[in-house]
Amino acid sequence: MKISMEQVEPGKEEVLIRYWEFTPELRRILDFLQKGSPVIMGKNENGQCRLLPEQIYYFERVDDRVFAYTKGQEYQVTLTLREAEERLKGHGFFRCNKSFVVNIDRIVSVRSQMGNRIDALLDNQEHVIISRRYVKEFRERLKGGKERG
Amino acid sequence: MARKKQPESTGKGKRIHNIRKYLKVETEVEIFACVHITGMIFLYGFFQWLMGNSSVPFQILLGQMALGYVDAWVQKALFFGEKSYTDREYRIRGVLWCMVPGCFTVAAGILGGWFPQGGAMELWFYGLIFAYFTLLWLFLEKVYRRETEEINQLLEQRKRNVKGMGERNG
Repeated sequence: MKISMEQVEPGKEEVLIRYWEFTPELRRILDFLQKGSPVIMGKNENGQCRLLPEQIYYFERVDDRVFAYTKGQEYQVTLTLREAEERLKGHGFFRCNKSFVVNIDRIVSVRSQMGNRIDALLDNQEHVIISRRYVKEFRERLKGGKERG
Repeated sequence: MARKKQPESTGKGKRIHNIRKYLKVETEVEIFACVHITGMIFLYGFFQWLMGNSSVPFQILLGQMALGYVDAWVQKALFFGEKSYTDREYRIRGVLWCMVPGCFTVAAGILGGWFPQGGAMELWFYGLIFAYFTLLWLFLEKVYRRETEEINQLLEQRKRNVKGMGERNG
C-alpha cells in the first residue's frame, strides 16, 4: 500500500483512505484513527493488567462475570460480553455463542459438526463452539464484507 | 482452561428465554422426527405389502410416530449444548446416534408385535432401519464436511488478506 503524507496549514488536517475493498484490516485502521487502539483492563491474582486485543483469545461469561483469556492467563474484566464485542468488533472479535466472544484471528481451523454447531480450534489448542445462530455472521466476517458498526 | 459454569439463576426473563430456546430445539427435533417417521412407516408399509397385507393397524402407526419422535430427541440429546467434543467422544456419539434409534426400533417392534409371524422379513426390516440411520449420518457428515472445507477456505483467505495488508503496511 502506498503511503503519502503532506504538510498542510493548521486546521486543515485530514486523513483520506482510498481503498478498493473494505477489509477487516482497513476497519482496524479506521477504528484506530477514530478511537485509538482499545485497551481492555483485566485483573487476576497478580493484579491489574492492560490487555491488547491481539493478546486476547476469547471472552467467556461465567454467571455474571466475564473473563478474558490470553495465552496461559485468564483475567476478569469489567465489560459485559456485548460491550466486549462492540469495543473489539473491528479487531476480529465476534459473538460465537451465548457465553463466548472469540478472536477470529486466533482461529486455526473449524469443523462443522452434527447438532448444528461449528467447532473452532484456536492456536492455543483450545476449542470454542460457534452456534448455528452465529454461523451466518461468522461467514460474513470471514469474507470481510460486514465488519459491523 | 475455561471456567466451570455455575447453575443459572431463574427469573421471568430467563424463563421466557428458556421457552424460546426449547421451541427452537423442538422445531429441529420435529424436522428429524418427521423424516424418521416417514421413512419408518414407508418401510414398514412396504414390507407389509410384500407379505400380502394391505392395511396396517393404527396402534402400530402410532407407535412408530412416537418412536420417530423419541429417536429424534435421543439424537439431539447426543449433541446437545455448546460443549466441544474430542475426536474419540465425537465418534462414540456418532455410533450411538446411529445405533441407539435402531435398537429402540427393534425393541419397539418386538414389544409392539410389528411382525407377529417373524421370519426373514422382520430381520430385513430391522437391518434396513439400522442402514437408514447409518446412511443418514453419513449423508449429514458429508454435508458438514463440505461446509467445513468452505469455511476453512474463507478462514485461509481472511488470513492471507490480513497478512498481505500487514506486509504492505510494514
